[in-house]
Amino acid sequence: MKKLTIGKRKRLTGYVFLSPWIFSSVFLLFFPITYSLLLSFSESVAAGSFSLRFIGLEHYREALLADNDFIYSFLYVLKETVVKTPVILVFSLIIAIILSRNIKGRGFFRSVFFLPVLLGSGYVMRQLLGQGIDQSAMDMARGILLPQMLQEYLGPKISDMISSFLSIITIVMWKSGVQIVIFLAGIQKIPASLYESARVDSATEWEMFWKITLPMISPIILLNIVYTVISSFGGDSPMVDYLKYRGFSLGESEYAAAMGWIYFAFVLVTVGLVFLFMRRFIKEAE
Amino acid sequence: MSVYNNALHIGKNVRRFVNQRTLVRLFMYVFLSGLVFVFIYPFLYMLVTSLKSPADFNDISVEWILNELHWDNYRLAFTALEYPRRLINTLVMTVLCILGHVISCSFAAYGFARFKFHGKGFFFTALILSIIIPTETIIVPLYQVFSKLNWVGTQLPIIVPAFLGFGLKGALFIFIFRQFFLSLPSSLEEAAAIDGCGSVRTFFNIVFPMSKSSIMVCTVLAMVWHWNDFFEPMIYLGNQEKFYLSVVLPSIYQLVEGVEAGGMQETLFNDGVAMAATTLIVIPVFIAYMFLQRQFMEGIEHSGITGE
Repeated sequence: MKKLTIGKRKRLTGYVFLSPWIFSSVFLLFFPITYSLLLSFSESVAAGSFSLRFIGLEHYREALLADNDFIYSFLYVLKETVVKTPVILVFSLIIAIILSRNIKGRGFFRSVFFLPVLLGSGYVMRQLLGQGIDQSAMDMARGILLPQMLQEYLGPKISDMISSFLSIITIVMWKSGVQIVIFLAGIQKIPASLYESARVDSATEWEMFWKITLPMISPIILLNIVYTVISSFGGDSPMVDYLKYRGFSLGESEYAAAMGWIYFAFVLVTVGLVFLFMRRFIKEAE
Repeated sequence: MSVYNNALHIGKNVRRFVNQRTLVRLFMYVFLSGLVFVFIYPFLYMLVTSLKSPADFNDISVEWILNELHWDNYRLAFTALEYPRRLINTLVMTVLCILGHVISCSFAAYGFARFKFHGKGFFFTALILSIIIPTETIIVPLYQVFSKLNWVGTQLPIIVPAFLGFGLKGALFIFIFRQFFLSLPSSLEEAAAIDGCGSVRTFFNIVFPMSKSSIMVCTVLAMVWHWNDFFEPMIYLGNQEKFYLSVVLPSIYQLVEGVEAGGMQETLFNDGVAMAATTLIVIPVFIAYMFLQRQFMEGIEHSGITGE
C-alpha cells in the first residue's frame, strides 16, 4: 500500500464522504443546471419544436429592460424578504427559548407551533382558507385579535392599519414553524454544564443569553437566516409563480430560464453575503 | 451581628428573585396561550368546516358553532381519496425517504463540515444553488434523466434520490446537518482517530449516535415535506394505482371548485368534503409529529456526551 501523508489522507476522506453526492450531482444537479443555462441563451426554431438556435443575451436583455412584470415581482419579493426575515428570526428564537425551558405543557405548545407547517407545505394551507392566506389572516386579525368594539372606537382608518399590521404578524408567525424546530434543537444541544458554571459565577439570565446561548448556536442562526431567505425567495413566492406562468402556461421556457438565472444568481449572491457577514460571529469547531 | 445582617440580606434577595421568576413565568404562559390561538386558528377552521352540513353552508349565521355534526363529509372524502390503499402508499414512501435523507445527507454533510479538500468551495456553492433553485424550474431535464433510466411511472425517481442526498429538499438537509456538525466539539472524533478508528467508522459509531437532535429535526421536516408534496409525484408516478394521498388532494379541490362554480352549493361535494379530506391527510402526520417531538425532548435530556 502506498503511504499517504496525514493531510493528503484527510483530503481524500473528504471525497469519500462526498462521493455518493458528487456522483449523483452530475445527473441531478449539473446536467439540469447546464441544460437550463443553455436554454436561456437560445430560442426554439419554430413554435413547439425542440431544436434550438443560439441567440446570446437576448432573453436577459428583455427580462431586465423590457419586462415590467419581472422587475415588479423581483422588487416585491425583495421587499418582503428584507422586512420579514428579521421578524421571523427574532420571533422564532424567542419562542424556541421559551419552549426549551422546563415549562408545563411544552409538548402541547410545541405541537401547536408546528401546526402551520403541517398544514402549510404542499397544497393544504394555500387552499385551506378559500380566499388565500393573506385575506383570511386579515379577517382573523380584524375579527379576533382586534375586537369589534375597539374597531368602532378607533375608526376605520386606524383599525385597518392595525389589522393589516396584525395580519402581517400572523403570517410571519405561521411561517416560523420550521425555524422554531431548528432553533429548539440547537438550543437543547448546548451542554447544561455551561449554564451551571455561569450560574455559580452569578450570571443573570440575560447575560447567559448573550454570552452562552447566542454564541453556541451561531451556526444554527446562520442556518436559519439562509433557510428563511431562500424560502422567502423560492417556493411559493410571486416571482417563482411568474416563472412558472411564463415557462409552463405560456410555453416560453427559454425566456423563463433566463429570468430564473438572473433571479437565482441574485439569491446566490445574497446568501453568499450572509455567509461573509456571519463569518465574523461564528465560532466553528474545526 | 454582621452574620445576622448578611442572612437577612440574602433572604431578601431570594424573595425578590422568586417573585421575579414567578412574574416572568406568568408572563410566559400568558404570552404562549395568546399565541396558541393564532396558531390553532387554521386547524380549527379546517376541523369545523370539515363537519359542516350543506344546510349550514347556506346559513350565514353559522360560522363556528354548527347545528349538527355532518360526518357524511368524512365518508365521502374517505371514498374519494381511496384512503386505506393510498395511506399505505404514502406511508411506505415517506418512511423510505426519511431513512434515505437522514443517512445520505448526514454522511455528505460530515464531509463538508470536517474535511478540507480541493473544490470544496465549488461543491458547497453548488449545494447552496441546489437549495435555491426550485424543482419546478428544472423539472424538464430531470424528467429526461429519469426517463433515460426507465424510471418514469415508478416510485424510484422519488425514493432513490433521497438515498443519494438529493430528492425533495435533500440539499437543505445536508446544509442542516453540516451546521449542526459544526457546533459539535471535535475532541471525541480526534480521540477516536488516535485510537486508530477510521473516519467512516468514526462517523457511524460516534458522530451519528451523538447527533440525535439534528437527526430528529431532519426526520420531522422530511416527514412533513414528503407527506405533503405532490408536484414531483404527480409528474413521475403516472399510474393512478401508485398515487399518494397528497397527489389526489388537488384533484378533490378542483372537483369541489368546479361544483361550486356551477352554483350548486347545496350538493354533497362541497368545501366540507375538501376539508374532511385535508383532515384525513393531516391527522396521521400530526400524530407522528407529537410522538416524535416527545422522543426529541427525551433524547436531548439523556445525551450528556456532547458536553466538553
